[in-house]
Amino acid sequence: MKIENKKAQIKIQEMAFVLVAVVFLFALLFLFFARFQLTQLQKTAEEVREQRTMTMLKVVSSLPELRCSKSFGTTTEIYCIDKDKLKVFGEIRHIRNKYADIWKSAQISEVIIEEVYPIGDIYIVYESMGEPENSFTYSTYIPLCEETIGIMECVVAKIKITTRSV
Amino acid sequence: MKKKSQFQFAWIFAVIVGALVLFLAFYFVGTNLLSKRYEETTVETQFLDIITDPFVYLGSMGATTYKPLALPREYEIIIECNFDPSMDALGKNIITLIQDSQAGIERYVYNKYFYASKEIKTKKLNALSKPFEMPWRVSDIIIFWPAGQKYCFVGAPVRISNEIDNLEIEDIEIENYKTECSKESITVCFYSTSDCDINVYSSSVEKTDGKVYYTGDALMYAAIFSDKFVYNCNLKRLASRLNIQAAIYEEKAKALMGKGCSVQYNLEDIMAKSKDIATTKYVSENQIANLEGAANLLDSANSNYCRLF
Repeated sequence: MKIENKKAQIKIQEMAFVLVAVVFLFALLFLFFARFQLTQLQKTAEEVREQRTMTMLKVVSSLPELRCSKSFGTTTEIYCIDKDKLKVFGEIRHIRNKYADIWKSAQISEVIIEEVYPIGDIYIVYESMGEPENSFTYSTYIPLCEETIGIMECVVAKIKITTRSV
Repeated sequence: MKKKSQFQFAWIFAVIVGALVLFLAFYFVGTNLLSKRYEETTVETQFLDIITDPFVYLGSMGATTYKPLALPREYEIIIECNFDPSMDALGKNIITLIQDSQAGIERYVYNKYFYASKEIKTKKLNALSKPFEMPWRVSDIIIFWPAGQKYCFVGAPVRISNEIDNLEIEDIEIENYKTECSKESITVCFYSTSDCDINVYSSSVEKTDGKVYYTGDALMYAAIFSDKFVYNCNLKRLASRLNIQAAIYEEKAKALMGKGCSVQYNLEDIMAKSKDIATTKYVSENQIANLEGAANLLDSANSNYCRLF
């Protein structure tokens, strides 16, 4: 009888160990799967962020607050940045701050327009507080034009958008 | 006897643990499926915002743009508007996508003005974009309605019917009489008092949810296709943005004077009228008319040799 009891107990212990091993195995599998899912999600978020930032370059260049209006001698807006309007953004912080939500919602930490040919001034359109880690900068070129009476003077400028990594 | 009880105990133990493992397996699979759907609806909301970005810069060419948009599956799209003039300068549209009662994360959009019925359930959308000018281009308004939802414009002015024809919008019929409209279409009657779903007058649009006031074709389209609350809220957002832009142009006017321009631009009137609309609860016909008057004055003052905008 005692031997039989012992056998039964050993059997139960064996089963318990097998179950523990199986649960441990499933837990490991689940961890790997969760890690894989997280990586996929991060990858998707990065792709969306990149796509969004590339589009934001066009958005910046077409902002009515910056873009050359019909005053530059045509019936439609022409593709350039108005230097006089840009100076307002650069010099008047409270106007600049009113547009902060647009940049923040796109995870953008900095928007700068700098004159590159000939090399000239740098204008800050938006600048967040603090230095972001793991940031990427995208840029595009655009004419920066200033209208005086009857004359339009243009230089080549670069729009630089810095965005935070996900 | 004891053998039998030991045997039974082993079975009971195995069944309990097996049930526990099965329960955990189903729970994690279900949670994972739910989070996947949550991820999908959130990503789709982002894509809806991104895909409408081209409308923002096409308007700079004075273009009215029409584009059908397709989502990967049917969603319930909720478009809301939020604007508190004391707290934010631009306000925001809030977009939420819902699939099978699972809502994604709300997407806040600050630089666009979406006009639509508050809730749309569809897989395909019609998107119409028009620049809102007062007198310069303030921004572009983007109007959504579900693809397949037909509208019948009755007695529309020639410029409207030509525009619809040029854009080849299949879901808008142009007819001379209400009886010629398709049965399931929403009738929009221009400058008449017929028993139509929507009545468009010279400065207002009347629908079942009430009357809203407009000026210009952009706001007219917005009033036809949009919910009254969303229309009113976005109009206030546009007025607020106009106010900020007027401040920018005021500085530009000073810069032009410094360059020898002798034209004196008075932007205070338009700043006051736009602020009046931005801070009001419901926009009235007088407020719209006053703003339009201020814009027209500024437009006529926009000198040819020293243009401000």
